[in-house]
Formats: sequence, C-alpha cells, structure tokens
Amino acid sequence: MSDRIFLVGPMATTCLPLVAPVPGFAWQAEALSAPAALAGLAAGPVEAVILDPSVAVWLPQIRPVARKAPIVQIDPAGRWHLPGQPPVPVAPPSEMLLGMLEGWLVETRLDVLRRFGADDFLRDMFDLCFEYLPAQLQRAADATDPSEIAKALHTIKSSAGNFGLRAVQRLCDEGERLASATPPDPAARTLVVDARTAYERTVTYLQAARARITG
Amino acid sequence: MKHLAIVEDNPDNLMLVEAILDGQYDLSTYSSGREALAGMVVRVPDLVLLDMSLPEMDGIQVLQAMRTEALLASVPTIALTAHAMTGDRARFLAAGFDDYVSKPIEDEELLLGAIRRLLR
Repeated sequence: MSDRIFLVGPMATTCLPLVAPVPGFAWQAEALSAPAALAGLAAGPVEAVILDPSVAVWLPQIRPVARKAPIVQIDPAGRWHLPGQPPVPVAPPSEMLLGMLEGWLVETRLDVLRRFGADDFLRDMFDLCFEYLPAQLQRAADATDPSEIAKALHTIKSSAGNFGLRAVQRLCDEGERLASATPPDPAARTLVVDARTAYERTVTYLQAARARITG
Repeated sequence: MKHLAIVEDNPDNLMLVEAILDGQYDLSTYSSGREALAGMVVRVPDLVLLDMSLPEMDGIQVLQAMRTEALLASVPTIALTAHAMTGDRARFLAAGFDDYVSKPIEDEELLLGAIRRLLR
C-alpha cells in the first residue's frame, strides 16, 4: 500500500511544514526551492511531497501508484480541496490537516496489521498499545539520564511504528538522536513532551479503530 | 518443524512477529540477551531473530557471546532493528549477522523470505 500524500498546486510549498510527518518524494527539481526546504531530489525520499500544478496532467498515471493516498488539491485561489470535504477557502488549521493525515496513516497501518492476524490479534495489539505506550512515554519523561531517555524514545519509536503513529515515531527518532549525541542535547527532553502530545492527539484514531473490533 | 528463537523486549514487536510466524515455526521467546543465551544453550534453535536494542546487552553483544559459545556459534541470526538508517544493513552484516530486517515490519514476506533463505 502506498504511504504517501500528494500536495498539488502553486501554494503547495507553503504546506510542507504541515505534512512533515509524511514521508514522500519530490517529483521535480522545482520542489527544491527555498520555501520547500526539501532535502533531496526525486531520486530519494524527502520530508514531504510537492508537486507543480502542471503535474495535474500526470495524475491519471500517478493514481495507480498512489492507490489509497489522499490527494490534497490546492487551487490557484488558495482553496484547499480535502478528500471527501467541501473546498476550504483558506489553508485549514494545521490540526485539521494533521488529523486527516494521521487518521489515514493509522488506517493504512491497520491494513498491514490485518494481514498478520485476525481480530483477536488486532484487539490484543491495541490493548497492549494503550497500556504500553503511555507507560513508556512516562518512563521517558521521568528519566534523568540522557541514555535512559534515548532508550525509552527508541522503544516508543518502535511501538509507534507498529501502529502508524508517524508523528510520534518521527519525534522519538529525533529525540533519540539528540539524547544520544555527544554531548547529549537537552532539547531531547522537549521532544519527549512533543511526542506525548502527538500520542494524545493520535491515539483517538486507534481508539476508534479498536472500537470497531468486536469483542 | 524448525525451531526459531525470538529475542525481543518490546511486547508489541514480539506479538507481531509471533503472529507472522505462528504455525509455521516452533517458537521460543526471550526478552533479554542474558535470558536468551541461557535458554538457547539448553534448547538450541535453528535460527535466531535478535532485536538490536535490548536491556543490559545489546544485539551485537548478544551475537558476539553466541559466536563464542560452541553450541550457538553457527546458528544463523537475523538482526531486527528500528534504527533503519542508511548503511545499517552493511553494518549489521559486518558485525556477523546473517541478515537484517527493519521494523516496523511492513511486508511479512521480507521476514519470511530471509528466514527461508537461511534455513535452506
């Protein structure tokens, strides 16, 4: 299953900070403009997807690749066209866009997990997540030794990846890197707080998915 | 049925790997390197799936200990890691692992294929 989102339109570059948790590919060199602040070219994964409006003609070819990836159309007037919703006249609040993306990422990951086991497996995984992840986040918050912070964040990163909690995963990855640096970067502690906030925001999608499983 | 040892301290990772391998292999699970080293000399596995970030001893230290233990020295071992950094594969192979699978597991066939190749 595709794990990308496509931003289309002349204002797409301004949206990159909002979709930073979503990995993707730059599709043309113009994507490397200063506002986009992308780190790579079309050959490699970058922090987010960016497309020029001319690429709209490519969309029929892109869609089979993207499969379930939502396409956010941003028209020349700056209106946002979110999947399944009426046009939004201005850029939606970042929470709204993040929520849409994060919910989609969780559902995408659940499609993968469903291949590995039936409902009882999913139910056990969810229940474990709801118990284990908050405990690990607390362990990271309570830790005073940077190496302990790094270990806790590594564990959370790994678990978050299992459930498609991409924002949590990304923040923990960065926090682990900072806590493991020589000397350790105290900013790692801020990322622990950010990871907890991201977990509290996204866990609602997992809770909703858990509620759909019988038993 | 071939016997696999899974050394993994993260319970959801363990549950996920067990779900993928259940019914295809006889599984023993360990949550630390020390526990695994003690258990695997009693019941030697045909293959080991070894997490890299373990308490007390990390995966590379566990592998080094296995390679100095006659019963475990030649047991094929796959590194499981959430690091997923460029160059990881080469680094883990250089450390003596027989293969490497990154987490989260996206495609069960990558794991199953690596196991089948090494058990051949």
